[in-house]
Amino acid sequence: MFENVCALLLRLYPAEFRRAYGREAVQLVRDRARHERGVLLRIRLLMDLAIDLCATSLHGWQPAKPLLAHVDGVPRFDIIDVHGPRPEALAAGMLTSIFMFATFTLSFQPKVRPNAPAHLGKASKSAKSGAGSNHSAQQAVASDPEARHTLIAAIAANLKQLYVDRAIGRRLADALLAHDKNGDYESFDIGANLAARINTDIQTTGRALGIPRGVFVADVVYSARMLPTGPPPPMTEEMRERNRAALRQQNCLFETIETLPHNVGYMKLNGFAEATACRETTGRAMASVNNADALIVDLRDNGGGFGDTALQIAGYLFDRPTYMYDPRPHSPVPARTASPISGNKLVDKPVYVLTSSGTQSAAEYFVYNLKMLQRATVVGETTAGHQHSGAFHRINDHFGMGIQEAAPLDNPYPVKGWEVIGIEPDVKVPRREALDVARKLAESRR
Amino acid sequence: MPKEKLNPLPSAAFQILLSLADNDLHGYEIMRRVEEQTGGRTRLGPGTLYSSIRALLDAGFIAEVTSRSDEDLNDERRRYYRVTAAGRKAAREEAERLADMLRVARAKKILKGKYV
Repeated sequence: MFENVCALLLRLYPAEFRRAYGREAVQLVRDRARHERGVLLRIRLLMDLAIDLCATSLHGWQPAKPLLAHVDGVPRFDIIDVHGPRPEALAAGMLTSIFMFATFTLSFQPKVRPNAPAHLGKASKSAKSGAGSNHSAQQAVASDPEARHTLIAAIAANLKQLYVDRAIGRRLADALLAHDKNGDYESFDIGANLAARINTDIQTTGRALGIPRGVFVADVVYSARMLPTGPPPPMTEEMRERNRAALRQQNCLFETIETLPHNVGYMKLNGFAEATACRETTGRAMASVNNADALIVDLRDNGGGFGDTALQIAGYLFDRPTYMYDPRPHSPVPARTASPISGNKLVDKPVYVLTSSGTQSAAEYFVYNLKMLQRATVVGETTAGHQHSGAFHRINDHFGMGIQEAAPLDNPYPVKGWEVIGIEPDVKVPRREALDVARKLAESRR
Repeated sequence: MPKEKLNPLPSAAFQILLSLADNDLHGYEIMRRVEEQTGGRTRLGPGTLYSSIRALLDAGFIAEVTSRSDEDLNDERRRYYRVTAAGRKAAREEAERLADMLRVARAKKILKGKYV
């Protein structure tokens, strides 16, 4: 029924348009229909189609009528033409919309499916049927106790079967099941808040079992969008080359490299880009601050990336190969820096690293090691606390979890990691003040 | 179609060029990318989307990609599009033009903030 209505609407498009792009238009609507399930989303799709039909029909099938037009020199941010539709056309469109809305609402009987069991590492039934993105069904299960019990049981089973220490995994799982039995999760809808509460319980139980603070145990993740059912498609060499080209075009995520007054080098790096594409750019960036009397590395907007590039930059800050702790078992990143680097003059210069609550993952790896090695003064906010060191497992359409499945390397430092707790700065200031504070510190130490 | 019809760049055309900045995409992917990059405010319908695509093709701002090496992405039913150097330049100029207007708006204290 729904597809018939869509097909009918598409047949109302101008004949020239259908000849040129009819097949693509049908495909586009099919794609949307496949991903936008649920009454509200389907109605929205029909309304979008009706509006687009009106706009296209009123303007005729004209190639590229300027949609952002100047009106007295001021641009409009509309996507529809600046000329308003005729009143009779508006009336016809409104009547059509009302008719379709009524027809669709009366004929569509939404089925609330029984809650799909959460299979470990597999798509649930709802995923296979494509109903995982069904908003109404999602709402229906949001407070369903059975769905919640099933979810907790799946998380507990993962912990039992996959956590690196099976005995601890069993106790973590038992603790979660006990919380569920006690009704501690009853007040939570199935969503992000429930995931956060489960994570808190995992952390608390882990601490009670002797796992040090900052060490990754497991992390339950909720995604409003349906999680993919399989691994991402393999990258081709062409795709890789395009990614590399895009990175180089973005200066390998170096947003700013400059020398501030008093000969303080400043670099703002918004991610650690892939070393194979950016090794030379990173080298040039470091060379451009080589003569600075102090260096500020701004990682406030750095969400992580590739540890190799973080290790490459750290290499300029030491005069000998220096161990950098990586919490990931079997990490591809070498354990030591490539120091000393020929011609480098930064090894004895003061370094300030700026952080925010958004600094995470590989950026935290960089900050953590420089702080533990007492090689940098960290200025700003406590970092995000995302080690991302576990393997990810899909639980159902909207939940997955990372689990520490292999033993991490021995950590020589007193603070054993940054998972959840983040990295505390040496000078704690709001992110917006961090640069000013670091500049003053750098100038005072010259 | 003559290029001057795309000067200034229409909003939909600008959004499409931005969506293609990273990857080659087909129509539905472009629609989804535009929806994401506008925070859900803009969902291009087939008429708007393909009229803009045709204009961009005519202007040489995008090109159809005729072959794909990735089997997962190589779907004969779909046409993929790629932004050209001219399209990238047009998008950059439009972005700079909008940035200039934002600066004026800030100078007039209509908008506040330092990030532009």
